[in-house]
Amino acid sequence: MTQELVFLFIGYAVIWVLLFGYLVFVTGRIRSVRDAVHDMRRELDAQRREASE
Amino acid sequence: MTDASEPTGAAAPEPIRNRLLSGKFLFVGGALAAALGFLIWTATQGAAVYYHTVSELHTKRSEIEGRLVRVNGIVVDGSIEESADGIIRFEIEDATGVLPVEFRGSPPDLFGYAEEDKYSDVIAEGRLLGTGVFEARNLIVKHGPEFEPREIPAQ
Amino acid sequence: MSLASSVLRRRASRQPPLFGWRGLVVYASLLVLMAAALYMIFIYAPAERVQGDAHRLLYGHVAVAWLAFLAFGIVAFASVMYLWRRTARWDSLAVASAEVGVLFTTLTLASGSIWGRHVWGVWWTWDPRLTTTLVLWFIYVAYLALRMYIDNVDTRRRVAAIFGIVGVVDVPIVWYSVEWWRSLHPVQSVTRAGLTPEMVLTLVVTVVAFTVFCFVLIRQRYLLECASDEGEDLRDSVRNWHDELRLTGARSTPEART
Repeated sequence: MTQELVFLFIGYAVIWVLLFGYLVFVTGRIRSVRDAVHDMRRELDAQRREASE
Repeated sequence: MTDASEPTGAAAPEPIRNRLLSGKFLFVGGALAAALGFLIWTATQGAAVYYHTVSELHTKRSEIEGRLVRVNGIVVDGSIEESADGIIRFEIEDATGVLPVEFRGSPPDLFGYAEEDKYSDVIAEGRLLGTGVFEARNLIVKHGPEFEPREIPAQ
Repeated sequence: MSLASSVLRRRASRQPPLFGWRGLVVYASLLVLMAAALYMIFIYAPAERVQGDAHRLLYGHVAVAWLAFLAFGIVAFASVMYLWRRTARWDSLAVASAEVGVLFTTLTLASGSIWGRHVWGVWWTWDPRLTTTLVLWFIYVAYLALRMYIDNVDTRRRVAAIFGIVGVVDVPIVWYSVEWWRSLHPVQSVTRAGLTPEMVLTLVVTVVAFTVFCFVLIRQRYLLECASDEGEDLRDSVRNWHDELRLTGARSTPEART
């Protein structure tokens, strides 16, 4: 493989790896944050029910 | 950014806190904008003369002698000579004059004559010696916005 | 208690799906466009006279640079809308675009550095185009950092909006830097008719593919910001709720408070 091809492939590898990596990271974070919010809401509901009894 | 699991400060009485912070926020915003402007200003000022022309190198001689500067020119056809001691000598020219350049090291791959499908436009980083020769520490190949297909050699 | 429950009810029902049938269409077309761009870049576009195959870096490099500008344009627009309307959604869009813009600027700097090492012979030089692009990167990294240091939500959003609008001034400076000052970086190839029709077509397909990718990223980051906002609101209401409990507890029975 000639040197220019090495630079070419590294250049595009950096672009695509970072783009897809960011997409996967952010999508995973949405899931975990939504799960955390869901848990918090359930806990709050339970506490409120407890307190009103 | 805002993490669902990360704790924040205790809830303060909002209206009072907002009033206190709005003055502070103006100050912080102003300071940041000023810093930003200064950053851009220094960046562009420093880069305003990224390179000199050949004649500027001579007219500003007293000012730049011994200092690291950049100069831009086109390699003069047939002027590149590689000596046995590993020094490459060539001349660059622009509309304002001709300048002999010495460079020790290996030049960028695409440095050469335009006829040989290389880039002859070059920026030399280095010092202008008393002898009038420019001692380059670094060669940077420059090229224009034109790209054209490589001609496939006829079989 | 009434405050806490009303906040909860108001916030409970807004969760756009992560991947519905519309998502399927978007991701499928993204894949097709990316495959088309790959084909155009690596096979369809002709080898260049001097640079040979290395010139193929142009398509990705130019595309990510333009999209960085677009993303910061969206930051400025969303920031103006936030200051005008004061709705959290505009602020969320601004953060999302700023982060994606920083990502695309990083890609611009990285791909340019790799391409420059091969063609120019240096990884980096303090040329006006490179310097102003680096400044642009720092501006929006500072924008993102700033947001983390302001606890008060309203203050954070206002300061960030102003910073986001001021910062975008650097975009035209980056764009015109190659015309205003002596630089190593060449001027825009497209506006100077420096490309053959095949090269222009390849660039168009690449830019379209990366634009779709950019919008997908901004949308995902926006959904993340909305979810985080919801978490923050919920946490505040939980805190209020606990404060109320503590107050009512001190008066021994909840009925003590009307």
